[in-house]
Amino acid sequence: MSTLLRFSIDETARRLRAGEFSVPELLEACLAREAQTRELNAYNAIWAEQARALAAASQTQLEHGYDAGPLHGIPVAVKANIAVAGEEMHAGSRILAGNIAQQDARVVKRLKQAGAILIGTTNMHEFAWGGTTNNPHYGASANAWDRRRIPAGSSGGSGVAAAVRSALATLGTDTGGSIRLPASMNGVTGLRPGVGRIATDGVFPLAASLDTVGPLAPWASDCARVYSALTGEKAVAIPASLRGLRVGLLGAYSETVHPDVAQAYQAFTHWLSDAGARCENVALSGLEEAVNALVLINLAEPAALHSRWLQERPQDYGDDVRLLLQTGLGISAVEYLQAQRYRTLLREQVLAAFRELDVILVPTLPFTAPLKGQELVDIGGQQESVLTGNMRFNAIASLCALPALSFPAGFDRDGLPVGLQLIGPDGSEGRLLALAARFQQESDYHTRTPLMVAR
Amino acid sequence: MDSHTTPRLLLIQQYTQTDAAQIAPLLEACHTRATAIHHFALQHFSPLLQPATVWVSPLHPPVSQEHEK
Repeated sequence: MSTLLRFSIDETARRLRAGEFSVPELLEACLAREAQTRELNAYNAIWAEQARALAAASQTQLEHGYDAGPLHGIPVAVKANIAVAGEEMHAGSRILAGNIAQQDARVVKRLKQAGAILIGTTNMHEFAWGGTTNNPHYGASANAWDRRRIPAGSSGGSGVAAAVRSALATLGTDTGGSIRLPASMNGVTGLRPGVGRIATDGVFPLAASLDTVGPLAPWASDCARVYSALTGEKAVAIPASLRGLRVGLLGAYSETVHPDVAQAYQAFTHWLSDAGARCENVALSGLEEAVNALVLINLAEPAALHSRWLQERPQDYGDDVRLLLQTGLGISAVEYLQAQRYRTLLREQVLAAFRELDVILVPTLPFTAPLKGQELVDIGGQQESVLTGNMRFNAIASLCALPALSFPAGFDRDGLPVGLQLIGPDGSEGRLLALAARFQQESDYHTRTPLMVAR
Repeated sequence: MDSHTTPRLLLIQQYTQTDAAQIAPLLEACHTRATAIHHFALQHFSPLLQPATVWVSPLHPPVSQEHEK
């Protein structure tokens, strides 16, 4: 494994400034890693020559004392539904193939201002409506840890690229779990900010009332650096102690999971308790309807957006996405609004719980990465659909428009990553990142690398 | 196609051509989810409960943020 790619962004930044390696050398290591892992199909486009020119300029700037901050010279990649001026923004679709973005999305503008070097766009589920990144137009991405398995989605390419370190950080989008799912299945950290916390202009929407954009990277501190660049907020200091931290658990709702996920969950709650945090169960009534509400909204809003294309170009969608979008056309206004009213009820309960709690802890998923094509997963003798399982824990923060962070917390018996999820109140993104960073000071799950890049 | 999913199919076909057999399982699942939320609403929603669209829009940020000025 290239030694240049072993470090967090903070450590990389320190070594760049110490002259241990240069920005062009770092970029070449990322490009070589992308070539080494191309079979995973993490990218739709690589802008090697532009990136090389930027890397040379970035190095010159550093040598002349101009330092844009921690992301200066850091190679990053963005999901294919995020506009980069002058580049194709197709959102994983044939419908938007050849669509050249006229200007940068706000998140891209901020990354560039922070000195990051954009190296390309990452593969995604078509129009972000799906959790497998099995894209009929640009190919399926594969899981970084086992190419027979899905990388999750819809930001699957972003999760894979972050895991194999062909980019030091990536951007994804999250409507119903599309950052947290690939973060969990590929063993990296992924932040879904609260709705509205990071501007989504220039990001092709899925469901506007749920959509967010955020970072994926191995270290929580990496995500914190990107989050700071995107928002202008200062990073929250890693807490020296967790004494007094109040952590909410969802009792039985979190317990129907694969035994290896349960083990990681229990180990983390023990770590929290040992560090002085207080874990207690919190009751949220009606939680069993969360997936139903999320699916109804996530059917109706995209259907409205796509109605013209569904009428004029239905054949240009992949079968799965076309059928989901068409299904959304059959939802009544009352059904949609009842699902939106459910959100209000759930958010009121969760915000009330946060008067007594600092964070809520849930698994990110009830299982680890399924095989490609697998539709059901066995959990303790019960069959659970991958679609419903994907949403079971992710629906809470999505519906409540709250921030949530998935971080690596273990591995299952097959060597696949297990992710856990911290949900916080409005504006708690920095604190969630700091808490995960504290855990990562004492664990190494986030630093382990898939075998194919370790040799 | 069951009778309870037929109205959904007819609504969809006002806008786009779709294969009835292919979309049937999705319409069934959609109907089950909508029915579950409807029953939950009958039991638990106050008439004063507003949809999330009321509070989600104000969560979106202003066009420019302080640090960009």
